[in-house]
Parts: sequence; structure tokens; C-alpha cells
Amino acid sequence: MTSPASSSPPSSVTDVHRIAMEKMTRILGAHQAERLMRKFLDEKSVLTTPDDLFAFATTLSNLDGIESAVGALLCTRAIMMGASPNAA
Amino acid sequence: MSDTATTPDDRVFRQLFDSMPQLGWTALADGYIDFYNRGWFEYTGTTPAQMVGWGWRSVHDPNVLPRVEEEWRRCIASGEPFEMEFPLRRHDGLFRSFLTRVTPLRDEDGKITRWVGVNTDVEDVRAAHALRDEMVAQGRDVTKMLLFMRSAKEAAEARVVELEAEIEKVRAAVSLAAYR
Repeated sequence: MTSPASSSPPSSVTDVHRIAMEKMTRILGAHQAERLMRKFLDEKSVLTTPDDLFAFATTLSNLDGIESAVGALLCTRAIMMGASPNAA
Repeated sequence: MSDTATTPDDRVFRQLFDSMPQLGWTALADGYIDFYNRGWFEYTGTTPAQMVGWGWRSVHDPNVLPRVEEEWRRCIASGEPFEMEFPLRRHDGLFRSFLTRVTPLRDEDGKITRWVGVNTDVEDVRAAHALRDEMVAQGRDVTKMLLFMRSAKEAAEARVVELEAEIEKVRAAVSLAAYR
């Protein structure tokens, strides 16, 4: 039995960052996606783990408007990728 | 530019254009923009001097601008109405998507005298559609994952039944051996 490809763990750490950027870019546009990511990352250069993604998504979901909906989507995606919300 | 309008017709036109919620502008037949409404300057945070002629290019996304210019030039040459959706930079640097429609005005001989452009902010609609598409796609992924998990659970339960049967056989064999 094999896991569905879409819910498989990321093949590399950069997949987490790429998935987040792709989803945000499609919904919020490239400029807003880059702006939000830059604001969140601060010291880190990229999101590297599903827990990173979950933490970022939680921050987004606390914002107003459509960003909060994107945050909720990314929370679910992070859990599907193996994030452990209690540990994050 | 807007502050050069002097005739009564121009004043009425300016008031009409300034009162609408969209960004609006007019261009000469060759595409040179000679008027922007108040909404344009409020949204972009620019000045009439910065926008005169082809200054509008500075508030476009550089990645999209070549396609906009190409299509605008094509319409100027052909006289066809222009319609395109593209981002425009707000005064704070954020880009929002606008549906832009430009209509040619013609004289009695059919010659184009002006172009009238209206930019309508469609960012919220575009983002809502994109969000809907993402939710649908992710919903499908979640469904696939749940089906996979159910299938794995059923396989695990079947294996438990098999193991219990094997344990029962071993127990029976041990009991029989003890009896003998």
C-alpha cells in the first residue's frame, strides 16, 4: 500500500517553503506572498520543516481578511505533511 | 492633466470622473495619457507630473508590463477596445489586480479622438476565486489522505484478526501439549 503522492512527506526541506510560497502566490499574489514570508522569517532564510510551516500558517491565520483563510489552509497542509502542532 | 481642464465640458467631465470609485483616465489617439482622475492619484500616491504621457508604466509590475504595453500598442494601432487584468502598485507598495477596459471615442468620420480608460479593482474577487480553487484542491488531497488512512486501518484490523487466530492456534497447541 502506498500513500497518495499529494500527502507524502516532503522529499526535501525546501519543499515546505516552496509549497507555502506557491499557495500564497496563487491566492495573494507574488508581492504580498514575498512580503508576508519576509516579515515572518526574520532570521531564518527559509521554512525547513512541517513544524516551521505550521508556525508560519498560525501567524497568517491570526491576520485579517483572506490572509487568515490562507493560514488555515496552510495549517491543514502542514499537519498533512507531518507537523506536530503541540510541539510547534 | 486634470488641472489643465478649463472648459465647462471639461469641468463636468472631471467631476464625473472624480466621483466614480474606479481609477479613470483618458488618452489622446496615439495613447498619450492626458488626464487621470482623483482616484488614480489617491491609489498610486503619484503626482500628475510623474504620470504624464507614459509615466503610468512606473506603477506596473515589471514582470507584467511588457504584455500590457504590447496589448495597448496593438489596440492603439488597430482601434480595438482594450481589456486586460493586471496588477497596479498602491501608494504603500502593495500590488492589487485591476480589470482595465479602454474604449475608443470616435468623431463623425470614425476617426479615434480619445481613449477612455477605467481600472476596476478586482483583487478581492481574484483572491477569493484563487482561494476557492486552493480549498477545492486541498479538499481533494484531504479526502485522498483519509481514504488512505481508512484503508490502512482496515488492513491493520484484518492483520489483527489473523494474528489473533494464530495466537489461538498456538494456545490450543500449548494446551494440548500440556494435557499429554
